[in-house]
Amino acid sequence: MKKYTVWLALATFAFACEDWKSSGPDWLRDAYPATCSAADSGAAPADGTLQVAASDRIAGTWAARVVQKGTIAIPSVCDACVLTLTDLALAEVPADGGGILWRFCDQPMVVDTTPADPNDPPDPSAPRSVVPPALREAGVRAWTPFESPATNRFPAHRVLWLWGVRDLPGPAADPLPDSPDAPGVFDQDHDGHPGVTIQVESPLQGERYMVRRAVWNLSEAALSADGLTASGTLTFQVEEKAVGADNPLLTIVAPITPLNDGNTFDLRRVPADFTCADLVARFQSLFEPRP
Amino acid sequence: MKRASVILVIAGLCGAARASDWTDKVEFSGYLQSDLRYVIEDYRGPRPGEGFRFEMNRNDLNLRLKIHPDPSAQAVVDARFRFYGFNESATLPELVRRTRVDPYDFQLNEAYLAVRGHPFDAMDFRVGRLIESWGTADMFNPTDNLNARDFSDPLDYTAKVPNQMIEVSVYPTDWLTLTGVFVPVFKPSLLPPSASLGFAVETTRDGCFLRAPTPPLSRADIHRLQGLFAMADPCRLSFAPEVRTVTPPLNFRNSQAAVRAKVQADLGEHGGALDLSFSYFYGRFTFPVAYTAVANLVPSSQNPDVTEVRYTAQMIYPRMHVAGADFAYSPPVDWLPGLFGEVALIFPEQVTFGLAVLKNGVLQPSLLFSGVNVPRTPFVKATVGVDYTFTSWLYMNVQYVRGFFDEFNDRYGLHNYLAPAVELKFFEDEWKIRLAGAWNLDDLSAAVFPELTVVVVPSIELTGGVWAYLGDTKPLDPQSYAGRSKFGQKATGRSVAYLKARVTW
Amino acid sequence: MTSASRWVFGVVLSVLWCATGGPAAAEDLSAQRILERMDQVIYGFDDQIMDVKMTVVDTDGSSKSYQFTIYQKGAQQRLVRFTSGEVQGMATLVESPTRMYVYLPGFKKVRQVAAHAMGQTFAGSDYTMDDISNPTFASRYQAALDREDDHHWYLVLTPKSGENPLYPRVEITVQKGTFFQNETRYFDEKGRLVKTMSCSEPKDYHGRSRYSVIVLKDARTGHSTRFDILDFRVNQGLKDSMFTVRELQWSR
Repeated sequence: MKKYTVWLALATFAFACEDWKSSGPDWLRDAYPATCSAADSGAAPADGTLQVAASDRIAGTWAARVVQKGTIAIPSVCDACVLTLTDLALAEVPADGGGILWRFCDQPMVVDTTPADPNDPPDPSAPRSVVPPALREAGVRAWTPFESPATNRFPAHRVLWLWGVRDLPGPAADPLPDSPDAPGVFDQDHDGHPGVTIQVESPLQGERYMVRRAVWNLSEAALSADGLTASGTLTFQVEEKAVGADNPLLTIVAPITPLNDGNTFDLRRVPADFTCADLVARFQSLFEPRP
Repeated sequence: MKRASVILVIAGLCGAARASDWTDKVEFSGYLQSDLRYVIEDYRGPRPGEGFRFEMNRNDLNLRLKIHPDPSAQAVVDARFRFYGFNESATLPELVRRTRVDPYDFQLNEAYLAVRGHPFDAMDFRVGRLIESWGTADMFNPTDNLNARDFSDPLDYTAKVPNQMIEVSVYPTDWLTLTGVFVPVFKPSLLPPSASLGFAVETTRDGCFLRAPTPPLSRADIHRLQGLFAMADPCRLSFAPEVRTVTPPLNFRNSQAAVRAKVQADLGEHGGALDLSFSYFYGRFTFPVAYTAVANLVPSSQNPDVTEVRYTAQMIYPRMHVAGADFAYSPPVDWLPGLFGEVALIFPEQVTFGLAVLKNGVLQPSLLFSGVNVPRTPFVKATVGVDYTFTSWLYMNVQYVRGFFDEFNDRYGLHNYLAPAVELKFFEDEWKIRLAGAWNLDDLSAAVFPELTVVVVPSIELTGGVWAYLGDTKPLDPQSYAGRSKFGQKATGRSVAYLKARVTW
Repeated sequence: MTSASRWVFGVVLSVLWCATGGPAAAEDLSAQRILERMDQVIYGFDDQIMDVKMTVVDTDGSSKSYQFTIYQKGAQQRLVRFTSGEVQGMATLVESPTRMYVYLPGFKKVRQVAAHAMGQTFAGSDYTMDDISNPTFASRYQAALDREDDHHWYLVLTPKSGENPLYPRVEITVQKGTFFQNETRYFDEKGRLVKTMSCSEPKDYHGRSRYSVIVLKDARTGHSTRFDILDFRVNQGLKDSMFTVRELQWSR
């Protein structure tokens, strides 16, 4: 009797323990089997570690590098330094090809400090500023609808960026506000200061609170043969106003004068879950170096 | 004539005796209760500013009938009519239907037969629609798993969902009770009306996407997921969330069963009184646990610029073995408090959560997220408490609770709570003030419910009080499934003031 | 939650104190023996069932009533079922002086009652749990005869060595012949009168005569509690199993 009881208990326990799990992923795979299409040719990506399916359509997610060259004049520092702004952004084209959504990730700035005399050291007081993490993570976006749905090439289009200001009646042309209390000025990077904050490292150090408008006029860009890249040129305008600073001397903003040459953009197809952090960490391997 | 008179008298007496016998076999009781509640805040609703309104205008009629056809048998029927008191009609045709203007429902709380002393003298059994209550603690009973909880009315926190079951109790000695229960069909717990807010997608006043509920995934996966949706214009996303539950199949494998041994321990004349129970339960946890989620991105048919996110979540009732023990000890002297406690060692089935992003209904393999939501590791839920009567008018009860009713060691985890209650009685016990609450020791949120009950005359009580939730309604950590305040989150419910009137017979 | 019914057991004590038995033969009795006989008269049945109506009377004359049924076997085992009021459906069980339970209909649960709840009263009545849990006098008190007349013995009770009852001094009036308890006066440790219990209105219950009204009056507040015995039956063949948790579970 005792032996029978033990076996009964074990059988009951075993019965109850059988298949003792519930797997949501397994359920999802059963319910939604993934299908393959011609576009999923699995072409080898340029970056051997980046797995993304090639396609002959522009719909999808793109990593973007936008190089803008201009000059900047800072009294007593720099009469006409050549400035290179490299905007890193992610661009998303929906399936219907109705437009493109840009999302700002970072903007490394390089000022050419090469002295005229090669024997002289670089000028340490050359202008230098950094986009702080708060602004990188603020998720600044710009949406541009296409005039007609695009499928296999990026049409020429204009991208209008507004930083630290909103609700302008004429966002492309209205004068930018220059005071923190002006209508439209808001703390876009949520750091407690109006506008967006730029960390100035040289020639002075401190924080400048700015409103900014950047306009990119991008050329048409065709897809590469493998459908993974696209490139083009652009013209741009940048206008900035300071609405505050932690150092009064930083409220003077030197204007940027665009150069006509050397302004390019490169697009690289990436997985949908590619993030800004991924782009910032890997852009130098994603894109070919530009002169 | 005389003989006929005698016969008539005897017949009359017999008739009277029969009528008397019939009434002796029937017990009829019940209550009538009115319940009026008013929401006393405007920030815990689905939209900010929604509140300060009547939430309940309800009348309940409870009828309980107990029939004893035989001294060793009884049948019990306990039914409730509930009239909700709010007009539900919205169109003219509905105005001809009383049930739309004055909606009500009918519920059978209990309907069972019970037999005592058959087939053995030391055995009783009950069959039918039952409500069972195991455990020695007050309200927080981790060993009490036979009936699901009815939290459709958060203030009626003792309510349970009745279920059909077979219960057999054997009394081999006067100090030992053995009980076995079989529940053929699983029934889940009823959730409060605010539960859907736990799955709500928050939008700005302009209707732009602001925040979605955090799924039970790792922080890295949540970051990836949030980055994915951050790519889109939030004002061009339209969320249509839906939450489903996976009902267990109606087979024997999904039935539930439990056994318990209850012991009255003899501690001698000066040792006090100690009751112990040891129990085992096999069945399912009655609160749903996150299982799958699907975000299907499709272009809106109405506005091509808008992407519809058809978000469908599934929840499951995980299986479990529960080994339980409880005790209640009354010391032999009146200057020591009473002690009670329950502990349940739960062996859960592992639940792995999966979230898939589909584009036009096609699974994107690189967008399949998964993570263990309920690990297979056994965990403990417990309640320990003391109670003491300081004076004839002051009574206090304090309990420490490990693991709330709806906690199952998923990614939200098990939390620690303190549940104190103080009762004060005045005016010959006609006025009773009860100050009670539950305090989450981990996130410091709380639910407090002060209450005053006045016994106007015997059988008639008026009760007024407040049920308030304290805590942050916003997620404490948006990138963690566990990062929400237990009592602060909106899904817990609304803070209300209430007035009840009840007559009992 | 455990306070609601314990007082009721005091009713058993008081009711049974006023029970009647047959006239006893005249004999020389010590005070202690008189007390023992009085206890015996109270518990001289195999079992008793009483239907009681309790009325709590406030000093301003307002009153409220509750009804309940008491089942008792021997000196210790008793079961009380409340049949009216907001506590209707509740039941309490005394298995022994140290083990008591209450059934709470709202929770559908049987709960153990702790010793600390002994001092609680019910619905503002003048009975505490301690009043009812120690029903007999002879086991706890030493009796002395204060005086007597043709109809009554007047006993003075003091605690026996090793006993610590709630009232250090009790005065009882015992009717000669029947050993009825007519009046009982309770005193505190300072000798102040605390409560007075008196029985009146004899009535026949199925062939047994007994007082149908017991009144307990608080000497300090003027507050009183009245018990009306609606029905009284003895030797009904109540089983021991009736005084178990099983019975409470069965009757829920």
